[in-house]
Amino acid sequence: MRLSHDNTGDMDRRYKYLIVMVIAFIVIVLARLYFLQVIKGEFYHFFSTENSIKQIKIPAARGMIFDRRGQVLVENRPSFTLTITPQYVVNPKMAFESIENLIGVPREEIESVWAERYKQPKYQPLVVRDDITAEEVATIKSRKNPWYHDGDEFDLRGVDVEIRYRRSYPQGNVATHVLGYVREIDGDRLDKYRKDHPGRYFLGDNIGVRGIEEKWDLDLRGRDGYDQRIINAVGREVDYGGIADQLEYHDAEPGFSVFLTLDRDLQELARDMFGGRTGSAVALDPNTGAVLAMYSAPSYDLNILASPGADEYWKQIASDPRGYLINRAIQGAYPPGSTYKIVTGIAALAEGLVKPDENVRCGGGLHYGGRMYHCWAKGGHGPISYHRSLVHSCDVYYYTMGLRLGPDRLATYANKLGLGKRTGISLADERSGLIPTAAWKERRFGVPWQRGENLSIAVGQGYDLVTPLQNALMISQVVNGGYEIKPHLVEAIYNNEGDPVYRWVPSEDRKKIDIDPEILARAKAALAGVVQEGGTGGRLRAYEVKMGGKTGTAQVVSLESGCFKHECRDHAWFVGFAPLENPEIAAAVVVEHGGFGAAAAAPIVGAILQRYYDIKHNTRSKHPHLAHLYKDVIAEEAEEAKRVEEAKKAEEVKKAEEAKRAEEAEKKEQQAADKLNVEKEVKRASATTKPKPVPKPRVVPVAKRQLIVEQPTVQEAEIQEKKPAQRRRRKSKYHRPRARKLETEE
Amino acid sequence: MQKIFENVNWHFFVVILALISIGLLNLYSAVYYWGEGGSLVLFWSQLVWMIIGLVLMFFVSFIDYRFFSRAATPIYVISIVLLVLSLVIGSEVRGTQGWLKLGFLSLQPAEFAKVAYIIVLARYFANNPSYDGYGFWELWRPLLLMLIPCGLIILQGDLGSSMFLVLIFATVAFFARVKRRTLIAFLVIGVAAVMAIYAFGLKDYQRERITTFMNPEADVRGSGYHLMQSKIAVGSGRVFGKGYLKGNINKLRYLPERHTDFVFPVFAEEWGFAGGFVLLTLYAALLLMALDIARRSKERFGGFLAAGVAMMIFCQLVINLGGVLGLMPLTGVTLPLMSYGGSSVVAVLASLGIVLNISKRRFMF
Repeated sequence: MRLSHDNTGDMDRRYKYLIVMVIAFIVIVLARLYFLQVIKGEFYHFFSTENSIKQIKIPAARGMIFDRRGQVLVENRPSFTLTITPQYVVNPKMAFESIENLIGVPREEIESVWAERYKQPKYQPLVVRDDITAEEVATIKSRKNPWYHDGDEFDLRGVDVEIRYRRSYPQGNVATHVLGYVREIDGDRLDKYRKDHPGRYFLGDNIGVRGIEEKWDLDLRGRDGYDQRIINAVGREVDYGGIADQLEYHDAEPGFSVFLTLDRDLQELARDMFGGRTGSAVALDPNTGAVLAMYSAPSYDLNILASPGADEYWKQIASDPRGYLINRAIQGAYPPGSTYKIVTGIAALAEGLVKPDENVRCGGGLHYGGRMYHCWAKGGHGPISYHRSLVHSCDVYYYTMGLRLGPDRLATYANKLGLGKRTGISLADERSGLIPTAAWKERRFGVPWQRGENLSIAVGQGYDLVTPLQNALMISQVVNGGYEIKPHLVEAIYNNEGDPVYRWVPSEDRKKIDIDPEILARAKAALAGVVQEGGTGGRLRAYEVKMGGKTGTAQVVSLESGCFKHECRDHAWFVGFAPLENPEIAAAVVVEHGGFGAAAAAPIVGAILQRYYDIKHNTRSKHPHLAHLYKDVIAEEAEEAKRVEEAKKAEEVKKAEEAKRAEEAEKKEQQAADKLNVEKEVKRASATTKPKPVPKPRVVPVAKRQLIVEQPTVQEAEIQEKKPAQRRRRKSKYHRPRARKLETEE
Repeated sequence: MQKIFENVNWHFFVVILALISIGLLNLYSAVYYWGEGGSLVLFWSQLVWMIIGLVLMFFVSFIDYRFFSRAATPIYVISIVLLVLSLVIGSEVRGTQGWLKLGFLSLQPAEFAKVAYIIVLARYFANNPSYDGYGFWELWRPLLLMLIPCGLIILQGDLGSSMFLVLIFATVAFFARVKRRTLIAFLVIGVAAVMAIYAFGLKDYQRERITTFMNPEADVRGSGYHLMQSKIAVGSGRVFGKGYLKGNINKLRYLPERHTDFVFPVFAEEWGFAGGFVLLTLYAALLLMALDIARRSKERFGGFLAAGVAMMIFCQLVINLGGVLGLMPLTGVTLPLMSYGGSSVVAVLASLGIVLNISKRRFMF
């Protein structure tokens, strides 16, 4: 390093800049201090000792949730809360009495709330009663004033009404499990959320729990606003000259709107068709994976959870043995029964273990390992090949396939079609179901796989467990041409300016499932046959749109147990799709202990498929399950048609009258024009010099009722002057057959 | 013995001691009222750090400060390494990833990085004199040296300190004289870079912090409300204050960071305008004396180093006081020698030790 001590000279001049900067800043700060402390000192001092700044939270409206067609699933309603604030209550006894006399809240109730007041600062309000009516609000507000005189009947100092939002559902039980609900945040969640998203969550906030409300809470919650006020010790708002502009007011930002892929009409239909039964319905768009319907029965009413009686209701449904809180669409894992034959068939064909036209003999049962495995058709199906085996759900054919495949190969195809693993839908607690392999059984039970078990898993019994969502996914992927899809629930989220902040977009290249598309096409054709060729799903031919699918009846207990109670009845399955060419919707329904799949589950699937088709293509099914939905619409349309008819008739009458009037008007003008003509002829005959042609206004009928008088150009006036025969027959701009007549009259 | 104490700039030393004492006194008041929350632990810990800092200052003032010129690069590298370490294995405190915990000690490498940067910056300007101002191509090296720790600090999430490094670079470069063209060019690039980083380079929560900083009302329970309280606290001190320990800390009880960002309002409330005047005079004295030491130094490196240290303290003063008095947006920059913060205290005292050192050797050349 060079010691350049003779080179400091250049820097000497620079110091003054720094010195100036330092001194300038110090002076500025001193000036500011002088301003704050000397000039406004008294004012701030008064502030700090006697008054307080209160920040009144302005709650943000939570975002609304819509279905795929923009129908409201969840919205907000205002709710009024009666509060009492210890700091501003002067005479508690009188305050309680006043409340009791005015709106009937018992004194004991108020006193028990009042006893809690030491647990929080005095300026924070205590909630006396939630969700009071508008009349009660008016009663309180009209009698509240900040000055109390002896002899006043009511003393409501410290009593106030707060407004906040509550969730409101046009139909409370139609999409319960998917939507989730909203309640006050608990300690654990508060800690976690505060860390992940600083500044968004505070004690006392409402958050979404379960379902969409929880998953998309950040987008739905918006931002609370706040209003700073000065309140003095007696509870009066103080407006010091000039302080108002130092206070801050910030509007609340409402939450964003979430558009789901669900169709509310399908949800309603599912709910109505399930009635009092337990189970679940899931419908997907096989091309995009959009969840068109997801319903789980029994369902509960979200409106009750959003109102003051929530705690009681919650205890009820949480302890009910029917399991209200379970979302059976993703958490209910059932043996798939005969719907699994779809997988077995595809696996056998793909592995080349059977040819499509190869016959297997079904004599009503299969004897294996010392046991008789029955086919549901007691007499058997005779020699049967792939297509018919699926159409008539022959068990023996699939037992045979099961023996040829073994659990591991079968499991591979099941996994390819989406079974045995979570679909990844953005809801919590999805179960993965179970597709057994030999290794799995070894791990789980410590005993090796028995070949006899191949038969039961091939027909969807035994260890197999499938959720309704998985089954819907499976059949979607079979009939959509063999592409992998991922079920999703949210279509788009829009912010308050209407711009999308999230949109589902299909991935650029769709992954193909590793199964020969020809085989999948064969399976699809067989599934079509199940309905159209009088197979086990034949009753669905009654619908207008052509459907395909597969029935399933899953045994809950073994046939020999001799149990006939409801809980021992089989689960009923049906998976279906429509229309046959280019399917637009695929659905899976399971009815717990519903009995036969064809009888219990198929009608629900059929109704859902047809209804979706009707909505999409604007048709109206006449099927008894759906016709009632269109009754009103049809009646309305008839009325409308009648009205249109009558309007048309009136229109025609009017037209006729107008035509008559116009004709008469024309006749009149004809006569007038004739008269003019004669006069002009006379004038021309007596004229000697040819004056410069003065353009004469030409009467042009524009509409039958409106006559416009237009000034023609000089050119046109000259033409008008010429004799008729010399005039070039040129089409003027206003050429009309009638106009020609007028021209010659000049 | 004689030799050790010859040429020591006692006036400077006394000013430093005065500031330290006021800082400790004030900190005691700030933490005194914390019932359930904090306790006097903070006060004692600050005292310990002050003593460590003073000892370090003592030692630093004896080394030949030219050692720093030679050691500039390793010091800089170590500070970068510490920053990287804090990103990787550091712990998160108050939302920033800027702390390294070693046992019961916690270090904030960003503070040391500031000092390290000043040293390398001073060395650069000292060794590369320019007679008509620095152009862009001459400044790219110190700029780069600044961007590395700046970027790391941004990754940590501490926006205030990263802006601070930019500010140090700007003031010292300005001091060293920059060609006018280059000045304008830098301004333009700077604005463009800030906009680009804001739009693309920051994580969401960092962006949220900036909008909160720029617009305090947006942070509902945060800075907007606190700024109001801060002004009330300062203003309510009037001319002579409310008296030591008698500050109406009811207001400030709901104001977090009383021991860091908002120490000045605590002081202003208790000591009023008179107290503020004294404190600011002391700071002014500190800075002007440091600049004077810089000017008297017969040697370029010493001059730049002392000026750099003065600028560092000045910038911290500006940002903290400006924010707290409502003159500019609030950021998390602390008040030197007053705010709680072991690393900051040690770093500042060490750099003041360097200044003392330079002052001692003014007769050496």
